[in-house]
Amino acid sequence: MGTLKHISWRLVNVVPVLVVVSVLTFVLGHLTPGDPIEAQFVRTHTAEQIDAIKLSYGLDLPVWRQYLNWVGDLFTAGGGNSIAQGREVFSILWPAFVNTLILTVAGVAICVVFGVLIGAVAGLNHGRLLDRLSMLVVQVGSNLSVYWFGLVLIWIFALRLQWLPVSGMESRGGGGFGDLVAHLVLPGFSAALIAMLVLARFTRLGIVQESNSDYVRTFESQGLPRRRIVGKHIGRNILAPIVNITGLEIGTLITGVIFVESVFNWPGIGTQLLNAVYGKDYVLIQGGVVLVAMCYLVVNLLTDVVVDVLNPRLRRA
Amino acid sequence: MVPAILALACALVLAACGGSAGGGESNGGDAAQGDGTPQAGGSLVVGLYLEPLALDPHRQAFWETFRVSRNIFESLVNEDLTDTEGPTELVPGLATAWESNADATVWTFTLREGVTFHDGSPFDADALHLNVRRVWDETYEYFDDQSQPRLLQWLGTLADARVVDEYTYEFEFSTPQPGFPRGLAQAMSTLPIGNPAVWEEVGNDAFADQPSGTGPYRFVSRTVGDRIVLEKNPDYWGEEPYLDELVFRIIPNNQTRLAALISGEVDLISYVQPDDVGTLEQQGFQVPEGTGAAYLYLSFNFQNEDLQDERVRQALILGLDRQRFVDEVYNGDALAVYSSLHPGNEAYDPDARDFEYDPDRARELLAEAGFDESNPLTFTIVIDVANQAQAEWLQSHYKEIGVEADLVSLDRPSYGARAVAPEPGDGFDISEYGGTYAEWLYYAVNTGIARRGFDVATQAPELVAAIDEASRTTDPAGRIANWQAADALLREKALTVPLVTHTRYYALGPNVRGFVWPATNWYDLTKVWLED
Repeated sequence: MGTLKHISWRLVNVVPVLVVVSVLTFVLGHLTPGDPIEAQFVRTHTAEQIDAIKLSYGLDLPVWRQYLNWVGDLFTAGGGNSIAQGREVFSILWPAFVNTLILTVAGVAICVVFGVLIGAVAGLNHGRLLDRLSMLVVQVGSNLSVYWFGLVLIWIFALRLQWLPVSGMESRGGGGFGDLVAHLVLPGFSAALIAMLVLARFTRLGIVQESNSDYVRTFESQGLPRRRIVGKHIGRNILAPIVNITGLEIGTLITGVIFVESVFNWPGIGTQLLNAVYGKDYVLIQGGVVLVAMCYLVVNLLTDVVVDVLNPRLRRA
Repeated sequence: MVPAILALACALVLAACGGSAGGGESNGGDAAQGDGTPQAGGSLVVGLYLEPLALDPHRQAFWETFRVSRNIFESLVNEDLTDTEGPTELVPGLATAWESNADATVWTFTLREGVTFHDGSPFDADALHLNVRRVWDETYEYFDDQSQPRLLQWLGTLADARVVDEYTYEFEFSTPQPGFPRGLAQAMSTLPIGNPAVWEEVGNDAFADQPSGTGPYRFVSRTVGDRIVLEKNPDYWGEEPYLDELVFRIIPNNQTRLAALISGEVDLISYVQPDDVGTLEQQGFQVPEGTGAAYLYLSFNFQNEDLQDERVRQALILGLDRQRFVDEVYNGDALAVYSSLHPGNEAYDPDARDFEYDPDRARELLAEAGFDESNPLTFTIVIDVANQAQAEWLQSHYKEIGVEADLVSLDRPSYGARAVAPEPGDGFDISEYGGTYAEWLYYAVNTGIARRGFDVATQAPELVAAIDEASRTTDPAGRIANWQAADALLREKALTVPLVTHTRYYALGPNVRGFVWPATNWYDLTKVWLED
């Protein structure tokens, strides 16, 4: 019951955060330079003609009226009509959001599996060559730009070796699960890279620390098999911090996904937002930012719950 | 896993060491066009650099939108898009003939019979009339207030429009419109024909989700941010196109679009970067040469007092070696332009020159205007970050005549905002546009120049008079001559600096045949076919 109450309280707290996010998004969207109609017609239409077009979009209303209209649209009109596409923004954002989710889930899976693996291998071989080499890769990798890394992956695996596709989610006339997985490998790796290496470092540190602790020494002196010590005791003790770090890193990962989508032309919400920013499509930008903000909040909430469940000691705190 | 990571690290090192990429077939840059017998069938995938806007005939902007939509919607008048020299010849479209009265205020169109929209409903004068009413007649239930102002450019002085009989239609303007047929042919902001039955059923906003026209291809699906799919219209009135399906993928990232072409994921891309032309040709990809209608030019900021001085503006043109710009920035793959009526325009005059390169004269003029080594002319160049290389070249080139320019490089929306509302220290920005119709000069003056602080009416009354005269000239030869005369005044006043027009813009896969880059900003895909 305590947990349930805790979660409900967290849910209630989400509301004011969303209000603040919506106001900030709206204000920033309107403060930054550029205008969607000017962008389209500045070379072909005179100033009077452009003003007439703005009028037909209600862009001449005072900013607070535009904000209230937009908040109303969020609940009743699918987030309002995109200025560039003329259709409801959620009908545009939703499929893109699902695509981003697919990429994010793949990224998280790669991040967790390989992050823990690298960290474990390094940690269990603490001080040996394998450990040093892994940590060198981790060190170098953490400093790569996601954008550049993505382009290098394309160049090697798609253009030179031709093992994997360059862009998008499906091949020509293709489709199917296998095809999707093939399209996921490179963007998934690019998206996961930084978070994966951070996780590897924490996992390694956890294992090294636990291995040097008194209880492990005791078990070892009693002759418990190493496999059992690692699997049952060290493993369980470092699980909660791993989940915690993963939760935090998902945030980093989502931010990275936006660049990755641009490089691999993944039709997700990052691509949509980038296009919207180019066209200064306020309505689409605002809807997208609110959606991404909600994602962050949900991920944070879920991480809290999972950590809560895994680590009973935190429940009383 | 660790070995895999290590392998990756090694691969990165190898990548850094370079070597030539070996993506496509390397048959030595053989750009064979239209040889062999055309084969019907297949799907062509096009990589666009920009997300097209709504697929609504009357709410369009951006060439990438039109390159897609013109397969769905047609206009009364077409252009001969096999013409690579320009100006393109006007040919019948949904109208088979057209004529005007003596002062070009009343235009009568004879419509093509036997044409149907994609849902089978007939195209006739009544359907055309509903198209006109949608963008012009406020009493029509489906009058679209978002379309109307976009089409003011051509329909602003439309006084009446009427059905004469089932296949005859008349437009009546309150001012002469001698360029109306060409305006119709460059249909993006004139009057492409949509299916009124559809907007009367689903409403104006939803029309773009199920666009319906008379064109050679019909709409199948669209995922915004990803792709637009069209299929062959089996009931098309004209010559049957070869390809069964057209897929337009949106790939804004320049490197990714290039990689998608090289890996064979797409067959045709637009906006090829100058530095990629050589690589592509080496690997057997086709990079057709041509002169489209878009051109690059410098727009002065007349709110900068230094640039109100005609001598200073002249000096900036005299001090510019455009051929060297072409050679050094575009590796020769561009054409230096010396007039706003660029090669794609119907009033293009290849001999028109503003000022030939003469750095000594440029320095003299600057000195006369009061600038020297101790007090150099300084200003800011404002650019879209996509034109970074061009701007850096200009910056260093202008040093040669003693001009000190700063560079402000902005993302697209910020650039757009600053270009229409420049700061006092801004000198010029790099703009890109260009219509195929002569009337484009009117817009060049009344948008780019007038909006940046040059009061055309008082500062160049003779230019206004010349444009006015040209707009009213109905005799075809006299009309072109008058627009050229207006352009001569524009050049003499040094109001704009034409730079270049692209000669390499599209790239095609090795098996694409029949593609022609006409002297316009769009292309015809009905003649394109894929070789096995």
